[in-house]
Order: sequence, then C-alpha cells, then structure tokens
Amino acid sequence: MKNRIRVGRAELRMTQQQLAEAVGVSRQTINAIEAGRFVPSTVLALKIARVFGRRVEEIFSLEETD
Amino acid sequence: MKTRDYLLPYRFKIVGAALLAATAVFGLFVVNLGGVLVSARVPGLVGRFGIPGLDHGPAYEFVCRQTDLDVTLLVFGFMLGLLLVALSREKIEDECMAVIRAKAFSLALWVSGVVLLLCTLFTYDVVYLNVMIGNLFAFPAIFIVIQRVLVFRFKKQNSHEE
Repeated sequence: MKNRIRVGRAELRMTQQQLAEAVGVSRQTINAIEAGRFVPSTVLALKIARVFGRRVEEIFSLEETD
Repeated sequence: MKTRDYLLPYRFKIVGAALLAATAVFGLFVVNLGGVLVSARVPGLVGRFGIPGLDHGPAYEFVCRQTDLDVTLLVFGFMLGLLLVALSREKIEDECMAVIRAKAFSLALWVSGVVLLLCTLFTYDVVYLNVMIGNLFAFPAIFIVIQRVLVFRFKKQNSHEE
C-alpha cells in the first residue's frame, strides 16, 4: 500500500511527532506507516485523513501487488 | 470505538519490575543463608497419605498448619512480577504495539512449547522435575524477552525523523 502522508505533512508543515500526537499514536508508528513497514487500521487511516482535511483515498492507495 | 485489551496501566510495569528485583534479592538470601527465613501457620490443600488398600478416605484435605513460606513467596513474587510486566501497557500503547504484542505472544508460545517438548523427550527423573518447575515461568518470561527485543528493534528502525 502506498501513502502520501509525507506530502500531507509537508503541506501543513507538520512534524511526525505533531501528527502522532494529533492521531494518538507514537512517532515511531507514523514513521513506520510512512515507510510502508506498517499498515494502519481503518480508524487510524481515517484519523490521519481527517487531520489533513482530505479523503482516505487521497492519502492511501493500493499497489498492484496488494 | 475502543476494544478491551485487558492490559493494566503502564505504572504496573514498574511495580512488576520492582517486584521481580525484590524477589531476586530475597531468592539470593534464601539460597545463601540457608535455613528458613519465613515460616507461618497458613491454610492450604495437602495430600493425604493413607494405607494403600485400607484407607478409603479423600486423597486431599484442607488443613491449617505451620509451614515454610520461602519457596512460596519466591514463586508467588516472581510469577506476579512477570505477569505485571507482561500484562501492562507500554508508555504509548497504540496499534503498532498491539501487533508487536501479538507477534511476541506467538513466538513465545512456539519457543516455550518446543523447549518443553524437547525437555520431555531428553530429561528424566529429578532433572525433568526441575524442568517442569522452570516451565511455570517459561512462557511469561520468554514473552517479555521477545516483546522487549521486538519493541527495541521497532523503535530503532523508526527512530529517525524523515
């Protein structure tokens, strides 16, 4: 699964720590999601999308191998 | 939408670690000083040894008697300490930690199960008795070790800000 979290953070000038605190997880979890090492739950994906003011599909997308 | 995870608050992890340390120190005293350090009159279930063929009474009875509590306190303290450490939340308990916890649980079950199977095949008599005594603590202890390793690797892998 691909994601545009880094792009979203850059648009809002937000650090990983700030995003982590906004959605209630650790900074390492945000790092792991951005790097593709961890797939977030539906609830967490929705929370991240809400912080960025975008739809979930604009932040996360499936890859061919998924 | 919160689901129950049956975990204690983080502060219980510190309490559990302190209890493990205190039990270890007490264990050193028990081993090195010898004798009996703690003795008390306590209620409990004991086996009843009758005359084979003649005694048709119950195999167990509930009595209150004077007994040494050193080993009892050691086992109780150690097991309680392990449970408190294993079943307490991390500082930040999020879904990543839940996945790590589940992985550690599976791995610990594999390791303790295989070790027990091997020991059952290759140890006998008093050695096997010692194996079974150690097996009391094996699963929670192995779970804690594996979980700590996985958490350390996760934090190290994701420590740098990008």
